[in-house]
Amino acid sequence: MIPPNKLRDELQAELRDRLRRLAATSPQSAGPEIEDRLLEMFRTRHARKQRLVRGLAALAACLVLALGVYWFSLQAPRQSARRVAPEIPPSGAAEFIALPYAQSEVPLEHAVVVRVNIPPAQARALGVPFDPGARSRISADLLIGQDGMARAVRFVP
Amino acid sequence: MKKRAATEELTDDELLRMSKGGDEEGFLALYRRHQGAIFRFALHMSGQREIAEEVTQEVFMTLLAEPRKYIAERGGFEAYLIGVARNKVRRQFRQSREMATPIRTHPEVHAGLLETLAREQENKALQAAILSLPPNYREVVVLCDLENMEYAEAAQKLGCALGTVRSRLHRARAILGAKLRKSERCTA
Repeated sequence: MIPPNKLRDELQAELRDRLRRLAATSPQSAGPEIEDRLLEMFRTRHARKQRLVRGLAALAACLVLALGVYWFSLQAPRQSARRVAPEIPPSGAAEFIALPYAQSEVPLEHAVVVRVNIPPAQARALGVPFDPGARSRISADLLIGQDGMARAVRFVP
Repeated sequence: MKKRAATEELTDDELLRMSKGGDEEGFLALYRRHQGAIFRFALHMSGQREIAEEVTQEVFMTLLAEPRKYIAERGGFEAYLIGVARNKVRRQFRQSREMATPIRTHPEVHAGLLETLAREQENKALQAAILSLPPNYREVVVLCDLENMEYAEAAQKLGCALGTVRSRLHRARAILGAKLRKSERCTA
């Protein structure tokens, strides 16, 4: 009579042997076609990824270029305006208007310019139409000759 | 050839990094290193070579598509792959219930014909018994008895406690023993 524990151990040992044999005789690895298929998938996937990266890089470059062009187009008019600005005569640099009653026989040799504030009514008297409601007083430069006579006037805006 | 030898010395994490960066050699080295274990696991779990190959392919396709799903801190690389393979095999179980065909084995050529036939018969009976085990029990038998894995390693790969592996294996062996005795009595 074999004790039950020994029998159980023997059965377990036999089972282990049979499992070992089964493991040894079973196929050990997948066929080579699986490796080939996976390799193909790997290449396709990474080629697609690279194309995507290149496409995105090109898109980013185009965007940067477009932004650069836009920025320059915004800057250009300002620069030309800055260059042109000094060429525009200042609005205050109007020409002197000869005063009709102040024409003298004495030629003008020396003159001084005096800035004065003239009431609109006086300006009207000089023949210059001013809107009286526009300003209470008008600035004007008077050209005064060496004889002390005002020869011409220039209105300062 | 030189590069292949160099990749064999690299760790799984290094190879995975190479693979993510588009290095074919890195991916191939990872595949060659782990495909056998994945294939054998799927083969013994399903009992069909076709399914085992399909699962092996799908596991590595998952790795290609979602390499970030593997987190080194959570466990070893092979444990992760076995985990993916487990899910794929279980999905296959749900899809088809015909997983009880014994695997075609390669008997030793030099053995006598009678002995060869007897061995094949034994293997078929054992495979049928393994395939009839509940998946939880089958996994531990496949990993510990067929793949000769340490209990702790199996526990890590299956994501369960060491004690659970021990108890499942004990129970699975008892079921297998009983089934084999029964089938032998029937044959006799």
